[in-house]
Amino acid sequence: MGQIRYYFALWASKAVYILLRLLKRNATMYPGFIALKICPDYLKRTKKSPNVLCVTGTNGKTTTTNMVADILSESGMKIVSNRYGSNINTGVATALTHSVNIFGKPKIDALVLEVDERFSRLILPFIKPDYLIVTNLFRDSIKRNAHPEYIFSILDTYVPKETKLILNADCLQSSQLLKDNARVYFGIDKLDTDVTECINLINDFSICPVCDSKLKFNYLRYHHIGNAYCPNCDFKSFDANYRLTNIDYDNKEITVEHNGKKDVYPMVNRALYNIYNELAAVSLMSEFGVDAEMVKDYMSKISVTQTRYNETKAGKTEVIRTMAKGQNSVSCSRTLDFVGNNEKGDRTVFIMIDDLFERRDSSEFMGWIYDADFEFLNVDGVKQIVLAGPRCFDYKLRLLIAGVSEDKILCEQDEFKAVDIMDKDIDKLYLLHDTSTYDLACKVEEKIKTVFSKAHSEKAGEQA
Amino acid sequence: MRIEVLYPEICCLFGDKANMRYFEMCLPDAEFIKTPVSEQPLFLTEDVDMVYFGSCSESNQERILSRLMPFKERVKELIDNGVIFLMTGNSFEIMGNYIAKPDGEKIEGLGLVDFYSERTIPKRNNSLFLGKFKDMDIVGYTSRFSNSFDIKKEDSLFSVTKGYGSYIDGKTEGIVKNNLFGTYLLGPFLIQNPLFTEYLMKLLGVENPQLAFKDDIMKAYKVRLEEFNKDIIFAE
Repeated sequence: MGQIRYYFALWASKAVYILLRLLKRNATMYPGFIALKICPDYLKRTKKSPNVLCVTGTNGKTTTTNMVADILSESGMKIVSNRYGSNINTGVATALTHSVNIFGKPKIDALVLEVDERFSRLILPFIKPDYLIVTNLFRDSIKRNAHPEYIFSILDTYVPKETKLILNADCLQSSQLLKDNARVYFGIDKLDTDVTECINLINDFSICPVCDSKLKFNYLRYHHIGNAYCPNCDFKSFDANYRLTNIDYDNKEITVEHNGKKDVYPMVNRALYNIYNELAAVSLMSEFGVDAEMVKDYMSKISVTQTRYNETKAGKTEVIRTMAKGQNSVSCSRTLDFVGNNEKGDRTVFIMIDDLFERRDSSEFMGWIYDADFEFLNVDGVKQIVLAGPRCFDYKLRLLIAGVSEDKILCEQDEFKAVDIMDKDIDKLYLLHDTSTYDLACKVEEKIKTVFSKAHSEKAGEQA
Repeated sequence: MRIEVLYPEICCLFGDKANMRYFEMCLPDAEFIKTPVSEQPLFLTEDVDMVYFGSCSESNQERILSRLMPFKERVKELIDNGVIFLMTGNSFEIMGNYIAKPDGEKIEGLGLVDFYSERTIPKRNNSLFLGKFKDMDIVGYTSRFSNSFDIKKEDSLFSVTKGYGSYIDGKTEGIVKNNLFGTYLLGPFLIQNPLFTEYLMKLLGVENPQLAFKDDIMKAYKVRLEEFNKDIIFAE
């Protein structure tokens, strides 16, 4: 009976997919939703593809999954991925529908899935990945993810014992997962920019899990990313099997050492968190047996998805649009660190990271902004900070507490009006948006282009 | 004036750290002592005027409970003597009789206020909050894996106008005993409730309390209050 129901679910799912495509509608979630509605154990009943590779963790899932999926495609493998779809059980079910033919037989070489860490309990025990990357575990949305220990306990309970783990040795939290599973670690050697005392507001792994002593760090990169040991017991960070030994920013290259062999890969993006994503993908590809030369060739051709990072011009102003995930204090801090500390020159930062859905009919919880390092914007080079959106008064207070001078702050609830009144005589503008405000940010970016170009040409006309 | 912040390295979830950071800006002359979990609380051996606890994970809640259990008589003495305790998020649950886990196991509490708590993992209880403390409007947010029950009327901190109380349909929120204030509201509670912050400063003996960034904090408070008084979704 169960098998008949499964086939019915499979066919319905495929039919719904075709129908949605004919209607030119998004078909990444609903086919899976239908399948699970008809057959609740659809994930378990779908025949496993020859290779199942998954990526989970708090930050970097999408970027890493896309790299893995593209490399395997380039290598000639037939793959299915949920890259354009949802990473919860319905999106995974849709991907599974595509992975088999109408008789339920696998028709691909590999399934590459981004898996939401909180939903992993409904997914991983059934699809039984051969490999699982856990990029990192940090604080995320308080509503959904509570705190990192909660997500850790889900993964620790529900990742199958037979899954080989690709773990981040530098993430003190996620590196402790499932100690009985086969595993390899990736990590980045000590960098010149590393410290030994945390400069971030939050470090969710500052005490020894064995004896509660304050951990000491051989090096600390950000938050709880680093290499630590306990001064009073044997606890220490794991050694990395895939060590990133050199980052060459001038030539845009990274060097990865594994088993004594060094390989130099093109650097996809200069932000450190994206270097971690690339290293995770490189490690998995090596474990999976993909030729390093092919991985290098691929890395030379790609860029980080434009929804997350884009450079453009507005008159003479360089506009850098980048995501600073709202409600995710660590992801946001990484972006603030990048904008405040890594970038150089006089710059304006335009912040519009309110949650678009909450602002429509509720009110966003703003506690997370006190976990995010807005202090990084308190630097000389940042000349103006434009705070736009309904929560701009909360952000203003946050910046004042961070020590930012009030005369640098422009506070305006309407994003488009903010563009009109902001200073336009600037070299660089960083436009920070949330996932939910991406479309709005693109519209604001368009307005910036128009208004700035006009202002700059008018000024040039006056000078002539 | 001496304020002890207990276990800030683990009682610091959801932006709770901001409370004492802001309070320090309001009280530049006060001494703030941050005691890590590996050390004994200062209040065991010396006088303090106020103790602060922030939100923590469930395992860390059990960790701090086991740390404090041997000193519960001293904690009782401090509460009886009118020392201020401010406890945000789930931290006040340690003051009750017990915390029941979903599997039925009961973790013994300090038993200094007569109530109990029940964990609801994996159900997360999220809600905006609008309520009253004396004649003040209180605004905030709660997000937790638990609820608290059997809190007597005289031990209840806030009356609920909208949002979750100590349990989902509760008409009161949090606990109060002398100058112990415990609330499920979390994050920058003192920043979002400047009137309550002023009240605490007066309790600490500050005659003419001066809030840091007063104009901006009052503006943000008024904007939030207006919003919360509208017909918006408080809990899903």
